[in-house]
Amino acid sequence: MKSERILTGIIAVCGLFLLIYACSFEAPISYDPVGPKAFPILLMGLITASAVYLTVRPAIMFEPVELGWTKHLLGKLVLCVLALTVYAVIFEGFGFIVATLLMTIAVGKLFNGKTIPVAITGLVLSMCTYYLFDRVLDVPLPLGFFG
Amino acid sequence: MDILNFLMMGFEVALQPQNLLIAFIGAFIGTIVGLLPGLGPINGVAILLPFAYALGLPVDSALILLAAVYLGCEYGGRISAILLNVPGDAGAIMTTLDGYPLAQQGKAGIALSLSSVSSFIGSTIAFIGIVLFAPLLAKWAIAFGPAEYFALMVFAIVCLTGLVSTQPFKTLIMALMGLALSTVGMDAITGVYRFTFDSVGLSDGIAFTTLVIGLFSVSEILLMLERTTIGKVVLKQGKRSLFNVKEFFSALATIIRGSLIGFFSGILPGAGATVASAMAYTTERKMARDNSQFGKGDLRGLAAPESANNAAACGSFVPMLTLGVPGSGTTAVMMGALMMYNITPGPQLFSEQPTLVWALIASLMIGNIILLVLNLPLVGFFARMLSVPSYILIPIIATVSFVGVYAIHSNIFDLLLCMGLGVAGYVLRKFDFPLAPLILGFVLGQLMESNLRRALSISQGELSILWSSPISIGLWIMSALLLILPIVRKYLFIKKQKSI
Repeated sequence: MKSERILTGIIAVCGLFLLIYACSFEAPISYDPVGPKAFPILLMGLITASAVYLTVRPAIMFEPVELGWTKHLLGKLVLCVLALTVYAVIFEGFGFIVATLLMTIAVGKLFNGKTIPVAITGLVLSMCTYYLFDRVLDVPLPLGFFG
Repeated sequence: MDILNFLMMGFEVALQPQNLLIAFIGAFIGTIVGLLPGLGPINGVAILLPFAYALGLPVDSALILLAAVYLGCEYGGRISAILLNVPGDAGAIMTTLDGYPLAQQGKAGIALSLSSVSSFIGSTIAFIGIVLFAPLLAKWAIAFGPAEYFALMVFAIVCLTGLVSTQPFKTLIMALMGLALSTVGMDAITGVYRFTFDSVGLSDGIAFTTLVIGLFSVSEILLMLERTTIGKVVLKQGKRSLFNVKEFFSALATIIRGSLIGFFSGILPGAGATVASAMAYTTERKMARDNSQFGKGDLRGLAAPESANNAAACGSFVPMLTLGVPGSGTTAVMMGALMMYNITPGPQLFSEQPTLVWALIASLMIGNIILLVLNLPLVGFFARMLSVPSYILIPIIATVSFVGVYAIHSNIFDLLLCMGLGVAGYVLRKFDFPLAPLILGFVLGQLMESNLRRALSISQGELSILWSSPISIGLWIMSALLLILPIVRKYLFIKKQKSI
């Protein structure tokens, strides 16, 4: 419940910040009576108000949320996010094939795969998808330093 | 008989060899996506959407593909529900109640075959419903002006919060966030940049695919990390793999009732397959003369939710095609797909793009037949898909998702944005914030704002235009009632809790 209040509190603060930011949207010439800022301001106001309500509502209004975040699991989650983010960053530089191979090994290990099957999966997956998309389906993928 | 002619025309398009093949592939992929626990129709449609677009498929083929995937998921969800007691998607939650006990009694074959026939009948009845109702609704909706549209979209969003959720404010906040996300980028009317923080990557707005894949695919990968290994398929071998005539007739009335409940709840924005199957199941249990076997392996308890969730999936096409307001999260994604092709769904769609609309409707029926044919003999093959280890499955999902996002603009920014959205989506889901309303809001956002601004331009800023016609007044009243409903419900709930 406490963590939920923190989350909705953050949403409320962000909503308020964006509300103030939205006030600065000015059109050089007015084309319509509403203008570009009314709708965003309305939305941000409603978001902030709902988030404030969710943050301060009495305990009886909460429905139990089970997070189940153990230290071990949080570690794995962070590693997984990290692996996928690195995958995104090296997607062009290393090229699709190498990046996908590395990502598959990292993520596969996180999902309790053994090294050899995971590496084989990575090789097959990266080669096949590259061939399928770049060659057969005409979706261009970066080759990186193979290019 | 105009409608029959249009329908024949639709079948002509949908039966072209290319589209038939696409429907087949979609049905196949859909079934697999549906049966994998965690992956539901939104994920399936979201992952396939960028490809349909990148491949340069014509819009009717792209929609046929997505529709087949959607229906396929509703078929596939039941397989893992029956065999493993793990619903493959949210619409199959009720199927576990009687499906799994049947499988434990060695009647897995009967349960699987009866449920696929229930699904088939559900979709068929909903198909007939679409053919009968959709053109009428579209004709009626053509009288809608911008003010009525604005009221309708408010109604759609309120419907979501008031009807289905136990946590109305969470649903509301998500729908609002979706609306807000749609304002990111250059304002179409004035050219002002909104919420871009001077980033070039955001100046075009957030691409629909990036949002959907981030929210549903990346966050799903993180959620899957939490689940421990799912059980193995250990089943007693039964004598029969097909139900008999007596069993079919004992469930027939249930199937028809379930289909009707499903179709009508599918039409309501936001209610969708999950609510439909729960409603159908509880109705059947209440109506049954002898309900002692419900939850222990009653065929009716299996047939009701399965017919309802497929009927709801088909029914949710009605508001999307006729009003431009999607009836479920998945149809919201499909509406986004239409908009990627520069087609704005709405009542004009029936008169301006009759071939497209009727081909889509016809393809629902064709996809349905393909699915029945696929599902009866291939159920063993699909069941084996459940034993693909997650260390193979997850990298495939990640790769395909990233390729899909990369294909839009070929830049890294979109991939990182997608990751950010995915992490945010994961955290929100952990705290029971539903994501489907966000997609609905995102899809409706631009339409809602432009209709509001158009209406106020017509009236030169006079707000009263928003409630000047009987249609819009009616919609506002219904919205107000729906807003009050959850508050009253919550109040009664608290009062009851206090008295205990």
